[in-house]
Amino acid sequence: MVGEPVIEARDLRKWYPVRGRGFASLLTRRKPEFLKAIDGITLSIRPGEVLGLAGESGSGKSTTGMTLLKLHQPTGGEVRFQGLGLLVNETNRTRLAFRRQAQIVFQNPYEALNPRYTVAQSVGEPLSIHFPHDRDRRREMLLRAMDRAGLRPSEDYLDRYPHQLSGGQLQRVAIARAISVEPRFLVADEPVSMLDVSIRAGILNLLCYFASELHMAILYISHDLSTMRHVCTRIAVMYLGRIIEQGAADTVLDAPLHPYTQALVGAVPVMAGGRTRAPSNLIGGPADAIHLPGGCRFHPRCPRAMDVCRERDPALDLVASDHEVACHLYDSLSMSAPVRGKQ
Amino acid sequence: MPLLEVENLEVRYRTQAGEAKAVDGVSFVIEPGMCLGLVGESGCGKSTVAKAILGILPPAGHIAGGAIRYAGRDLGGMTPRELRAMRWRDIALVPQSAMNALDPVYTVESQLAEAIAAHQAMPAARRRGRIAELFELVGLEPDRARDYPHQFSGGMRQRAMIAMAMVLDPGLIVADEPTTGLDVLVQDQILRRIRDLHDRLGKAMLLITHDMAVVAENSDRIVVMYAGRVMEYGGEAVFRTPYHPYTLGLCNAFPDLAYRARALISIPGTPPNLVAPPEGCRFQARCPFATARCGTPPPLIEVAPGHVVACHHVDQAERFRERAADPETWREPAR
Repeated sequence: MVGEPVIEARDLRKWYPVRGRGFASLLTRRKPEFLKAIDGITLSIRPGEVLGLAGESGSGKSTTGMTLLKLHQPTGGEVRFQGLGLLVNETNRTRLAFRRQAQIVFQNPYEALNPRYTVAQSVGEPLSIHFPHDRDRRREMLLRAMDRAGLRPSEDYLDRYPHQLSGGQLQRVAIARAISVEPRFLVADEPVSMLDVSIRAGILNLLCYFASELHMAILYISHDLSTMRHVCTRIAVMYLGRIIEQGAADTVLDAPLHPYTQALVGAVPVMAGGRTRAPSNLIGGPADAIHLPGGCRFHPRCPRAMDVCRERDPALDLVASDHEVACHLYDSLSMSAPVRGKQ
Repeated sequence: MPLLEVENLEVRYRTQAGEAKAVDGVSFVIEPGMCLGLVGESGCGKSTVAKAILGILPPAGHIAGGAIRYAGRDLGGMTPRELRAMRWRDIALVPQSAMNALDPVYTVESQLAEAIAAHQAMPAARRRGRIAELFELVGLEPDRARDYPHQFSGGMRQRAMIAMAMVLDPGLIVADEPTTGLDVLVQDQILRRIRDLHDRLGKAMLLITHDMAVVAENSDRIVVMYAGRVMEYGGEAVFRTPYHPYTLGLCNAFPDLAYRARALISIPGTPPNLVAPPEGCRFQARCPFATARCGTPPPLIEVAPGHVVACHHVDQAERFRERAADPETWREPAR
């Protein structure tokens, strides 16, 4: 992929206070506690790239999407959009400009659209915010967005209400609304998990088209690894607020290195496999996101945990070209400086 | 004798627009110890089949025709009282969204105990022993039996529901989307538990899901439903060498992790209105291979022993298979 990253996150953190903020805690002087939904992640997406963010529920995938869009304020770290930091010097104008460039498609199209708006009103709403004085341009952009989202011919859809459309059509309307302002960065948060299998591919193909033809940078959030193979150029796997493995999509799916990624990939049922898949060897369920274990946060579940895993938190290191993993098993493969930074 | 026979089942729902034929002439057989996978998309009637078998259709629905026989006894001819006695003792359900099926104000143990007490007199100590045994069976720690549902994770609640389905040692377990909404690791554990019950205890199972890989991995027989009808019925060959264009569509639309980059197809259009379904094949409006003949009801053709297809054009299946892999075949016709 060519070009400078459209969006970058550096050491991004989003902590939610869970206790110790109220009046009672002032009296009892209880130490504040935080749920570390995102705890230091670094990623970047270039034009034309689709980055898949995978992980179990509670791993921080959706929070990452929301924080990159600044729908949540980060607790720490930095988000850069087209090379510019987003946290500093923010005025209403820069915020509005960013909103035009960065859009989101949500999971549930049945809830994402206003039932009292026609398709034309829904898709046109962002346009009237960003181009309030240019009616002809708005019309042109509206029709272009409808066409790109596969709502053809647009006359069939413009005056219809959400209840008159099927789930797949609704998701296309939500997508048309997001791309109407021609953003450079699109977050798609589980865009097909509510849809029937027979129409999923249509939506996934749209995302591929936006990336390859319109050069958008796309963050595809999903727990479903099998759809990722189809849309993503790269995949990042999250576990309890951290990225633990990242690389080219086929590399991560075909030759995963982190024991967690290996378990995730191994747990996906396959049609041609019969009953031969080996059971996962992970221990227990995910750790408590508030009281994280010391060392590697995956070590209590890891079938290959070593002493070092209980003591030192592994950094996300490059172990092959375009393949990063945060695991002590691969310390010797690390391509970074021989003396590794303390964490 | 088959354990469960569903013969020409018809279920209708009263709606404002008229009677919807949610299930229209569905037949299949479950032998003892067999796992039958019922697969289809939302609205195809697969959950309605489960509800009809258990006699728990909502008030707007009724069985309009056909028969459901469990171990030779016709469920349609039973009184509500007989049905109630049979339900759970003979046929138990692991419901959809089982995550929310437990009552939050009772401990898990007391809910399992209630299910036992409703059907058989058993001293409390033995009941507790039985519950501990079931907890072991589904992979829960027996000490956790006295916890409340909120103290359980989603996967644990789902396992508790499987334990609940097992309390009376039923002959048949109906699992309706038992893992939908669970994470893939938890899903895998739950399915392995279910399969274990099936393999080790010889439980017969009706597994209902929209996930074809789950069906492929867990079922001995597969039924593909569309718009209230069975399109294709058979063993694993249903997915390996499909004959029906709808099955072909589903297989080519399903992103399988085992295959590297493959163009996925998308079936154009939407399922038909079940109040006034089209004459003939229900899939014809979305089928790229439909001909004028499809306006008449398709015959049921046995293409191989035990593999039945409802399509006029089974003789062309080979050509269909080739063409169905190409997304161009499924391109929406320009209107």
